[in-house]
Amino acid sequence: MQASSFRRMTPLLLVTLIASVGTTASAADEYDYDLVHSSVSFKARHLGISWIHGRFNEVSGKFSLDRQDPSKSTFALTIKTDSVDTANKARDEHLRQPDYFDTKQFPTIEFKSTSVKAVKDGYQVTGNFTMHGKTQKIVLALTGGKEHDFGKVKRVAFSTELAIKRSDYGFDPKAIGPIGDEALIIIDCEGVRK
Amino acid sequence: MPDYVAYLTASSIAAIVGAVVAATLLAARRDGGAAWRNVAYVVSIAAGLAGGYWMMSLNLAWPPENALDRLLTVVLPMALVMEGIAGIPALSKWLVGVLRLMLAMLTPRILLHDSVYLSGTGEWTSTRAWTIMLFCSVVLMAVWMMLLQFSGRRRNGEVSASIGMALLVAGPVIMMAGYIKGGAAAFPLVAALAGVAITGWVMTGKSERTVDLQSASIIGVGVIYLFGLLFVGRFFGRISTTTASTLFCAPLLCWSAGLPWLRTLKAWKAAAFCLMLVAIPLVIVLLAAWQAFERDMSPLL
Repeated sequence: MQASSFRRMTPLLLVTLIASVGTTASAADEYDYDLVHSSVSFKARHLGISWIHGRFNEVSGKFSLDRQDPSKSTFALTIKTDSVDTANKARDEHLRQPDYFDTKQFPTIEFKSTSVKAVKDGYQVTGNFTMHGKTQKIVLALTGGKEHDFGKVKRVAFSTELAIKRSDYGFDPKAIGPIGDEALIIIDCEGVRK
Repeated sequence: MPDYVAYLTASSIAAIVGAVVAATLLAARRDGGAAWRNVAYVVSIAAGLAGGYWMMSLNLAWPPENALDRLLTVVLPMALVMEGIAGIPALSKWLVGVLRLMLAMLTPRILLHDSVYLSGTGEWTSTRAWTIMLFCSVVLMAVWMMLLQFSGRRRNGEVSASIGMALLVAGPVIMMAGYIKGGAAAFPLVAALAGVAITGWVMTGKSERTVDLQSASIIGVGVIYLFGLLFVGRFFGRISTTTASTLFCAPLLCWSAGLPWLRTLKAWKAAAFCLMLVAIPLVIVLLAAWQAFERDMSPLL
């Protein structure tokens, strides 16, 4: 290659190099939690004979997916405890009180990931789950993660279930009786990015 | 679910422990004077409460995690210490007044600590938060001072009894609104106050009896606890402002015993009339709470 040709190509080479480095640095795609197409619901035993179902209507979060290096992915979710909804106004008011969620003292339930591992059909996410002022380390098995294009918006969805004991999170032991200690939380979450 | 047997047992323990400690301390220094009796009452109330709450397994957290924890582990001990100090004869009245004012100003702030009301997340603006806390402190101080002043004029135990009645109603009202643990916490205090007051009445000389039945320490601890319980029930539970205000101000109806035509009655008749008057708004609030409970909460049980 002649010296003059090399000099003409150098700027192009430099731009290409910078662009490729830029692409590698921002490999993680960031998604916002889509409340309209997601849900956080739960169920707990009533008197050991039936299940009480409910949901939280105000949830927000973000997650970033690095498909080249999944360990760099992150997940975060914030649930407003005041938005608890069990289809019964009186019960919802009761659940907001200090015997249960104590929403005026602990307004949110939060999850923040600390490590992520790719597994078959999804991700294994370890993180801190904070509820009622107490934080426990938990492991979530997220299934899903395939991106779909819909119009100008890219969507990705995950599902997971989480069994927790209310007594591990400082709920009044005397309020654990008619409603069982263990609760199952079901999260179906869709994230969007433009 | 409410455990009525546990509440009764805890209340009995609180009354007995309070009475035994009071009797022991009063017997140890029979000629100890008003200051010693004041300290004896404070220590006895604290002992009775500790026994009652231990029996009830109230599971209080330290450091405190919620408003009830802050009431029982911070505000109530502050009130007990302050009332113990207030009984020292060498202390000037204005200094005692300042101490009581400080406690009244601090109580709402302590109870709301770390809650959504003070977190700046939008429940209240900073101005609104400080205005409401100041207003509540002023109401607390005003009711407290009026009851103390009245207890100096009428000495048949009406003031202490009316505070006890208000506490006895506040407990079930808060429970029926859905905060069972908060409401249940009222019972050991009523029992401890009653146990200590009656022991003091029995053990002290005739001339001091009527004073001690409603000593400043018993009234002070009772008023602070009644305020704190209703404050927690209003801002963390689901009792209304009207309910909380009515229960807190009902003991003020003791002032009716100072009416001219009542002064002509025998002391016990005037006291009974006064307490009946206090009972009226308490019964109305209790019935309203029961109605709401039957309508909203009992289908959930």
